[in-house]
Amino acid sequence: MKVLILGATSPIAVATARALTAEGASAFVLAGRSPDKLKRVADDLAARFDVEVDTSHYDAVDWQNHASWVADLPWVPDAVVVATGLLGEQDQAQTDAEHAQAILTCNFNGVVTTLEPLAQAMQARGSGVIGVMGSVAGLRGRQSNYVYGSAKAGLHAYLSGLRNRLFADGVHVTTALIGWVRTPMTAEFDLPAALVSEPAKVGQGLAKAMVRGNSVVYLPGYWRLIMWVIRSIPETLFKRLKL
Amino acid sequence: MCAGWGFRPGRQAALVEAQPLIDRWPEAPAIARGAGRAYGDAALSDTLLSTRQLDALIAFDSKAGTLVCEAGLSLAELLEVTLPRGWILPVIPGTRFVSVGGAIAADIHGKNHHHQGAFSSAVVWLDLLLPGQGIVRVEPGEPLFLATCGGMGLTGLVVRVALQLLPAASAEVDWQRLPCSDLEQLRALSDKHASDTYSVAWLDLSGKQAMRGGSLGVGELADDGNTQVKWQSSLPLPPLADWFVSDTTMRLANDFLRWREMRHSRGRVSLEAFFFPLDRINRWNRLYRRGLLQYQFVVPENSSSVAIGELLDRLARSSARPYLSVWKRMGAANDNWLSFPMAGETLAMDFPRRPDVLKLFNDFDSIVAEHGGRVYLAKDARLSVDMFRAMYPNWTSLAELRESMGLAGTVVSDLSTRLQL
Repeated sequence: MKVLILGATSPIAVATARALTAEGASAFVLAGRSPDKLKRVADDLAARFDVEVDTSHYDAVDWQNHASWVADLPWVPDAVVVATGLLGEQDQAQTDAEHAQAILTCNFNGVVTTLEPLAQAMQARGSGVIGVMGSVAGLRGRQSNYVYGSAKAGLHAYLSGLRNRLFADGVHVTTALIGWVRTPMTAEFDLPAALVSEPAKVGQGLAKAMVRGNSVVYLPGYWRLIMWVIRSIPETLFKRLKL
Repeated sequence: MCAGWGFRPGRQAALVEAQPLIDRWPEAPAIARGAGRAYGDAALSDTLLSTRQLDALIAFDSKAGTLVCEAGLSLAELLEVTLPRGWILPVIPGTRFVSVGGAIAADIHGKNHHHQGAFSSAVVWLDLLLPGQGIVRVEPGEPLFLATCGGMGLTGLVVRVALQLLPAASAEVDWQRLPCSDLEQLRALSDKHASDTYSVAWLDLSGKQAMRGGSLGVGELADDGNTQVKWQSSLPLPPLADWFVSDTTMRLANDFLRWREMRHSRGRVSLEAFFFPLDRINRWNRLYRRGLLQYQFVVPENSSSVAIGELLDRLARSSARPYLSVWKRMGAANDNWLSFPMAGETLAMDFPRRPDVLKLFNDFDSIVAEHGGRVYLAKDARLSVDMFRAMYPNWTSLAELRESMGLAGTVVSDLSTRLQL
């Protein structure tokens, strides 16, 4: 299995890559912005497992070049993992249009412009799996991070459509609705410790879901219950809450 | 709330994740924290620099058996990579969940210490992050190496490590258990099996009289070519298990173990069963919810039987009993300033945290110090400054180095404050 990982230096992406080797991954292209960080992850994978690892410079906001970047890949991947994302600062996004734009592009626009050419190639071949990191934040907008949440909500809808389109051609799309994970993204938040999970667990969950062909998974699974509760609050009440 | 493996002392602390490619020490006084398996206050401070994300393997040469990794990698992950390719860690402790950095900071020992020495013997070099100076490469023999190995993190953050591994033809151990009734018998057995690679003894000290029995376990790595590492998933403690922990129930547990251990037995067992029996239970320390105190000390060969005799007499006069006791004969000490092992005998005893136990430990300290022995800092949360200085005469070297390199105010743990380092 040949695997392309977008945003490969995030701890969840690293964990997913490691877990995919157990599922038969034999070659990786790790894509991201920082060459030093990419090299670190590439060396780790190559030293741990008997796999081929390449790195490639990729920036989610660089939409003009996404199609040619995909065309330059050494192979059409059997599995794609999308782990690019930017949580950003909600407060800043409310006043700084550039920041809001960056959040929307990293989490949504850039994924669309990258996945379209990839989907086309995989569709033409007639096989493959695409696993994308969505977020439980995209299931209901909250005042504390709705710019990020809305980008993820758009992403979820996009993936639902893509899955629908590619199903007949044997290409599978997995949407992972991820809860709180102990990563640099959440480092500065004071989150309830019992609800923060380890990147390794989430990565293993995503790898398993992709191989099994699950469409939408909550990682960890208990977020299904939490979000069911949060989603069932009537909007007239929800708008009065401080969330 | 943050604490060591023994739950007490606990405190509020700011946890900072050491990012990959870290090259600067935090602004505030801080101490590195790895897997959090030190029992006491070694990895407690106002700011904790966590190495959980520094878990990358950098290179593994499966021809030469050399491995370069980041310090947060656990020994479990390391063995998963190296054993299938025929290499094993020269020093394997009693749990696989410690980090490589922690293994260096405590200069840990294993069941083969009498042959192999401590963990630092496997270190080819290490990259150390020093406050205000960036990363420096440290090699065996240098003062910074002698200070860092066994130095409980007080020289900065170990970022990367190169290790020399040993060839291994199996992930299984040929093991045998030799029952004994008292320490004299145990020492004789241990002498007879001195050439065996791995050896450690379990003692039952849970009864009224000093020792109710025990057994020496010895082992050799098998050579069956089966190098696949498979960990059994660890079992959770049943809810409220700690409610059933008392002197009486733990004596019964020791009765059971003695019944099992008192028979001679042998066989081929997994790496996990031989080295990491307690890892089978997920977070077993929660059996001691009000605090776990382990007293591990070593006393030199020439006075070990007298010293341990006195110590067990003192134990017999107290109301406290250890729930689990482990004995081992150690090999020669190394040159590291605060490294624990020395040629002699070590005994580790687990107690629940109680006022009478703390008093008992103070009396133990006097006996151990008087006979030229020392207490293991990785297990300690309560040793006094005077006792520490008597047990570790090289403390002055570390204190001077910390002073001269400006570490005394920047690399600070509750342990360094307590021991005035």
